[in-house]
Amino acid sequence: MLLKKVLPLALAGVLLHAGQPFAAETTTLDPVVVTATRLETPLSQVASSVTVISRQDIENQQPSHVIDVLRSVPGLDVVRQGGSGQQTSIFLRGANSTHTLVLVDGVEVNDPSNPGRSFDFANLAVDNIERIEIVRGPGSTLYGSDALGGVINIITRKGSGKPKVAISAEGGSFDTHQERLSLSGGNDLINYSLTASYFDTKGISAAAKKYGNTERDGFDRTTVSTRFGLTPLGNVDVDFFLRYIKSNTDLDTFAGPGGDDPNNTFHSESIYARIQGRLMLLNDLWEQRLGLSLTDYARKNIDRTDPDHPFDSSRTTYDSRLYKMDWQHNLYFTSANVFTLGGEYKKEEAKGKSQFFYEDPLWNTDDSFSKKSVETFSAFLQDQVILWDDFITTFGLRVDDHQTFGARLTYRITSSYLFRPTGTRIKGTFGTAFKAPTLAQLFENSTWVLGNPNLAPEKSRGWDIGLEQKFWDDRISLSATYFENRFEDLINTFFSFSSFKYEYENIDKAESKGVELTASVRPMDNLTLSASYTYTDTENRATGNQLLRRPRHKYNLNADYRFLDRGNVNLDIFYVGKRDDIDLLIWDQTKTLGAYTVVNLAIAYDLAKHLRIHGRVENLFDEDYEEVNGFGTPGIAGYVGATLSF
Amino acid sequence: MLPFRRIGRREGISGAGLPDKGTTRDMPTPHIAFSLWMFLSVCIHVAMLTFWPLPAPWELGKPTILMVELYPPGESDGNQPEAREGSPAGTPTPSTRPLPEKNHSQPPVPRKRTTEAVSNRKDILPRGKTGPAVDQKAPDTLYRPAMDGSGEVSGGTAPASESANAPLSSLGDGPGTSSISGNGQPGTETGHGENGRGSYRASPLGYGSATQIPYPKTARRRGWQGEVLLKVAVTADGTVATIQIEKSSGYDMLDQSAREAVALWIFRPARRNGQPIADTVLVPVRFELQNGL
Repeated sequence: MLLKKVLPLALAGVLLHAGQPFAAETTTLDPVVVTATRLETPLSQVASSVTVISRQDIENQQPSHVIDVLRSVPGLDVVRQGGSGQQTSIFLRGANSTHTLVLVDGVEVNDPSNPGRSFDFANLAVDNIERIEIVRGPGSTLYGSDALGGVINIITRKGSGKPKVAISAEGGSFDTHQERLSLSGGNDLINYSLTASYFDTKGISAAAKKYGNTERDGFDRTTVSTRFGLTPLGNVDVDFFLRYIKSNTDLDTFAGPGGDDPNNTFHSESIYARIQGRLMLLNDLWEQRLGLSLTDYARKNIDRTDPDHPFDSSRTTYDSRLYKMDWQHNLYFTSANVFTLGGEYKKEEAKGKSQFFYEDPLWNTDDSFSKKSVETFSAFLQDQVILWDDFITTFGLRVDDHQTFGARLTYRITSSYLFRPTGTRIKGTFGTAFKAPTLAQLFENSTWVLGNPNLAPEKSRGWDIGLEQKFWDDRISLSATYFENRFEDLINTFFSFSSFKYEYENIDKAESKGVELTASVRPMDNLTLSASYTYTDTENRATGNQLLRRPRHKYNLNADYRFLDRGNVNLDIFYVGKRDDIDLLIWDQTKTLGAYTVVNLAIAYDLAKHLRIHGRVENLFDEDYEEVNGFGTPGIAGYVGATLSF
Repeated sequence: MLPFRRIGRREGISGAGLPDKGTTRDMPTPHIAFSLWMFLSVCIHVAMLTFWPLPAPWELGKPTILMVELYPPGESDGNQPEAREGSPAGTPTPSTRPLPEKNHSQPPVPRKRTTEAVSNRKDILPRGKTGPAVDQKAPDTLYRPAMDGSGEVSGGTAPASESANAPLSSLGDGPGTSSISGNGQPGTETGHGENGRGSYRASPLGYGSATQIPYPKTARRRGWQGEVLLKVAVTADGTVATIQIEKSSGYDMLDQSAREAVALWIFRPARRNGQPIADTVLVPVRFELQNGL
């Protein structure tokens, strides 16, 4: 940027002094630009269905939570039980909410103390995130348990260049305010990035206000995220990642009429940490990566009595940890053949306590879940072969040996072929995945639930085939993918009349199939239009019904326009079609929720060299809708803020 | 209400409908999808192998252009870019390109010259990005940057008669002494020396791919990017006398890569009243990584 300014000046200087060109000043020549592609596999060579959300996308849309950018991803459905901070789940390609493995810098963040070992996106801010990758389709071969529907990979920003500091603040509807401080930089020896932020909102009522719930459920969240790297030698990299999240959320007792609960609160503290070393040997032909990860959750739900609930109170706490050690080797035999070999050790542990008190002490429960742990050893290999530069195939195989159910083999084949004359890419994948039973499913023995140590893992098998076409110097890009997934041995509960408790068994079966279409057009350099549409057909194979909360139709339209080289405007529209949900009163009946369209508009402008202002309107047309039956959603909301950066 | 059905924080929002218990577990035909996929895969492979145009075989009797790239001994330290293998476009090859300049401080004056060799050479080298092609007869000209087709940045637009007395004027002779990175359009004068007095600043003979500043592999792996500003003292015969890092990119590795490569550049020497003289110029070198889409 600076250069563009300097250069004409330099030339003008030359012109003015054409007669005496050798004045004291030194001419600056045009910059030479040396470009290279990154060494990571380019997206265009990946056969899997992947959506990448970049930091730029996040900055353009200005979301506070990661979940807000995920809503527009094809094949991914998001539901939240109320406003900011309330329990949030996703369904990837029709799979269950517990069927997505979420990684933050390689740390598995699915909560081991959660009965389904799912990840709650409620507390995850966009702070310091460089990239979010959503990989659809069964993916256990690379990542192990839980990747039945797919994998979401969140990557923290790596600092580079001169030290940079940014301070930003934002405020708006629902008494929301947010402050953020970022620091980053790097040189030959070290790199660092650090972001600390605080988010606070008085929120909306989690239980929908149309049922007369008026008590607002607030949320506050503190996040510290850092990445620190050392590069002491040309072939040695050491990286340290840490993300700490602490949040307090007001909850409502249940959805629908009378759901309001003024003093039901949820407190959560999580730590995702990883240290990773990378060593390049044999002239970069042999890459080794050794990593240690820690996931730590402490969750607490406190509900005291209040005038509306003079007798009901509860207190539950859960603590869980996941330790992981992984060692991976990449062998770059030739540029056309990359062989990957690795091993992993994982130990998950959890403990908990839960007490519920009611008017009739007969119902009271007092359970504790003593510390239980399970170990898994895994080994995997993958070979990537590239023929004629354009035909790429990977074969992967993995064995996971779980302490209770034993070994499980998964595999995956992917292929992609670029037909250069027309710029058409055809790609396909076939893979299998599994999800180990959770600690609760295996070992819980509480008043109402009895675990089953003989459970088998849930499993899935899926394939997809896709076409990608680019036109007009890649300014137009279109893609279409068809997918099918089959889920078996899904774990569900039944009421046992021998134990008088709910017990688990591998009973359910389901399948999902559908089509994902995307289009992106860049008619001008500063205007990008993109659209995606997903059709998902799911079936519970025991009942023949569509699975709950998965819309058949979903689309997203986005326009991003950069103006005057210093401003940006982003218009985002998403539509979610009608879908079934559990009826509020009779739980084994369903209710169809209506379709909805939400429009968001975000604008940012560089007011001065160091000052950027931004503002956005969420739900511009004040659409009244429900994501989960009986829970509220925010109406029209506006936010403005500013960022100072040096 | 049964207490255990409270919607608490523990349960994920599952969404699997509750199935009827006791339903017979009719096993699906699990391998149909796989078989279908395999069949499709085989079909695609067969089709590719049958119809994909393979490179034409060598034809005897036709002159063949061998593209050879040589690197000076000091550089073959393993950080060599893959360009060395002459990898075709599309593979991650570091390439050097001139930055198109948007703000012309004066209207460009089209020149007819720009050496006819430019158009000739274009025929020889099918792809400008394949790195420098070197005529085996003139290996010593290896590191001489090419006359750049785009002209704007090259400064290689002096009339042939003028450059005739420059020591490197022979560069333009003979096919294949350098590669063409630009689009082969007639060059335009940047302004230096256009006044007929034959006075202009030193400028590189071209920013074509012949300049070949390697992007060190380690830097690529680590995602290092940045811009280094080099202060280059150019002698009257166009060679580099001294070279200093005026402003670092923040990464020593990138600075050194640029410094070592630019030290081997040959410049079109500065002139005063037609006489080549020594000069000092600033050369910005910007290292950029692309996502390889």
